[in-house]
Amino acid sequence: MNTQSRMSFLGTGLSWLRGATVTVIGGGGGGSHIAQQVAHLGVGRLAIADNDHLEDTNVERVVGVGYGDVGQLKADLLAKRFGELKTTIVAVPARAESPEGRRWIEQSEVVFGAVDGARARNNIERLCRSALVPYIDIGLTIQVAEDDVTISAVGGQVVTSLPGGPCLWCAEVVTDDLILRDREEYLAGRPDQQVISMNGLLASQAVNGMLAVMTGYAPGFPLYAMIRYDGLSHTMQPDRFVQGPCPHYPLEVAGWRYVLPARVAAA
Amino acid sequence: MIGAILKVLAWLFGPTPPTPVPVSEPADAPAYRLHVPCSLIHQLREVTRPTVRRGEPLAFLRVRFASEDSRTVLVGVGVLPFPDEAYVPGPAGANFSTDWAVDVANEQIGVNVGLLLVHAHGGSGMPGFSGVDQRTNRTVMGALAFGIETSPYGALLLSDTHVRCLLAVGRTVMGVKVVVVPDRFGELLVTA
Repeated sequence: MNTQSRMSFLGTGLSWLRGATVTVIGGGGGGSHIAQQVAHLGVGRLAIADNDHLEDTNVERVVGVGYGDVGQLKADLLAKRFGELKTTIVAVPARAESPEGRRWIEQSEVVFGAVDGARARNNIERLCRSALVPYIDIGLTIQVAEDDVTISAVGGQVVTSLPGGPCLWCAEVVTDDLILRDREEYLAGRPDQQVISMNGLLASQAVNGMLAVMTGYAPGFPLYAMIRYDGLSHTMQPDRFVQGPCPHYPLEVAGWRYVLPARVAAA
Repeated sequence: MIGAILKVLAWLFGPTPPTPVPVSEPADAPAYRLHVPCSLIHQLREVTRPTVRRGEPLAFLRVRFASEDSRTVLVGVGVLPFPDEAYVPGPAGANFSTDWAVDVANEQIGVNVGLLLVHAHGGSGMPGFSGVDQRTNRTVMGALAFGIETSPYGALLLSDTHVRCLLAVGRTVMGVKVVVVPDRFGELLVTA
């Protein structure tokens, strides 16, 4: 018996886990759950990227923190809380788009994204597609009426974005309209509704997705690129329409491509 | 012109004693990584499988650096099997025209693509480059890389179960950690 004997069903996937580097972008409600689970799984290295400081309104959703931690960097806090497990954890107090964030994305076997907004999702996915790194994105939207009490919809999704496969644009999790709306909602200053239990559900499925894709523990059982969560009917269902090769990120365009300067015609 | 430079470089590099080739085990704390989709590995296995006509078929894996900032992470973007006209008679298992290789390299560099020379040894476990392979890696792929900072050049060796990769860096070759990336759901058959 060893410490991983109750995960032996993962077979050779266990050695994959031990040798893997995983990056979690976002140390909030969703990202803290993912980081906790990835650390418990015993991956080789875990980078937690978030440049935000913990606020008192985060404490009821971010696992592993308390009110005494308010004001500290989320990435540092999570790295400390889960640092006693076998996984080497690195706090990256930076945005995904920063040079440091990009370096971690490029050095990863899998990247998780648990961020607010379509623009941030789009940026992370673009970096992952460029470096051919699988990206698993979670998101939750709780829509309330003007009275801030009546719930009109609770929807979430887990998108597993593999090189060549369907992307966030294919799944319409990122659209031009949503990117534009990000900015409007940010300017309006209305806080997103979120709750720890639903964040945790999506985070768990995201980690299951990583295990399914990378360890192949359930061959023959398809993992769909997109799984939708409905918090009112308490269901998670695959979206069978999100499939096929991705027209937005063809494999051929991965990596760094020169953009030649435009030739200016002589006057 | 480039061909002539290559010949001079090959002459210069040729007599140097063989350099020990670093291996690409994860324990080496590899500075270099190659991310290659599973489907391209399958494609490479297909096109480098020995046939009656060709005992050791060759291919190029088309690769780029992952980003402008990074010269350590490579991504595989396509497979280019050697056509019949690329092969020439010679003493090794497979002999190819360096003029042809230079033409291909020049063509690919326009889209920032470099080349990894690929062949297969069969069997299981981590394959090892032979002495002839190592000389080719140094003289040919090393010469292609000479002075080119925007595209990576090197070699990739397949067994039936594993992949070994080297990158030409300056006057030497470095081990590369190969990460086989799932690009379709439910299929990741290669350990590398």
